[in-house]
Amino acid sequence: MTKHTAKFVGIAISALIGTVAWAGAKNTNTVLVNTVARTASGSLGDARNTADTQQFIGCGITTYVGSAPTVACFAMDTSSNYVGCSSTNADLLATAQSINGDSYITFTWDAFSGCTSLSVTNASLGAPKQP
Amino acid sequence: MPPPSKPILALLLLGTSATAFLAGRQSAPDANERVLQELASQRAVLDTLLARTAAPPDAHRDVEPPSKASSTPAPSAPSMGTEPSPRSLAAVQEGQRLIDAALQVRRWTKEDGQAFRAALVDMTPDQRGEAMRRFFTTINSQALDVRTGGAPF
Repeated sequence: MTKHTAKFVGIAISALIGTVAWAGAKNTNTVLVNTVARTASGSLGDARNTADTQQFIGCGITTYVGSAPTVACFAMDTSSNYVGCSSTNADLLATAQSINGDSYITFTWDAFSGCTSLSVTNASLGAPKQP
Repeated sequence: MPPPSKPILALLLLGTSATAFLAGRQSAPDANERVLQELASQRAVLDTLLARTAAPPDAHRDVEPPSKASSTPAPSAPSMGTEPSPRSLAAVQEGQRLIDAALQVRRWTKEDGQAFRAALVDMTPDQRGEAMRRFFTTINSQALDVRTGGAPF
């Protein structure tokens, strides 16, 4: 092997090693809806990036002049089960404000469709939203 | 040719009657669908009434911090704790009408969502909470095919 060839082989090997080292743990969390347990969960990125045009999950915040902001969470799974809840709870509102495009969220509601919990996980395992 | 015997005649008659009965059932309008829709509507109303009577006065409604509760609301908005205005009552009726109409056709569209959102603006906070409670209870009962492609309103 000539000096030049050895140099190119060395560069190629270094580049490949670098590529392998950048891999990390990844999770896939499509939207799951349980109407009996009154829970819904899913990753915003995975929901958007799936091939189907059905599933989505998210929360919206609306402020009406003269009253507390309202947070409303909603989700639809691949079986077209659509669920949602609303609340004016300030703690749930603060949690909803931490949602971003990479978030994995879980929300629950009671028999009166009031949101009872909202969990937001922002971690490297979550897929980012693609165009 | 000898006439058919009595048992065979009876069987023929029975078979014809049964066929006619089944054909009539097939062609009859499906009353079950209407009953299911009405049941879903009644359940939503019942859930709302239960919420009013059973839940504590401030369930699902935050007691505002004193600083927020004492702030002066905008003049055009319905203020908290006052008698509902005719405008807010009309908004409540519109919200209920939208949900009832959607239950009739078992479908909630983007246009319904926009109209509902507009009605919510004119309601008092208590009315808004009740309207959302009734709306989401109806949604969660899977009585509607939600076609907004995202947020319900």
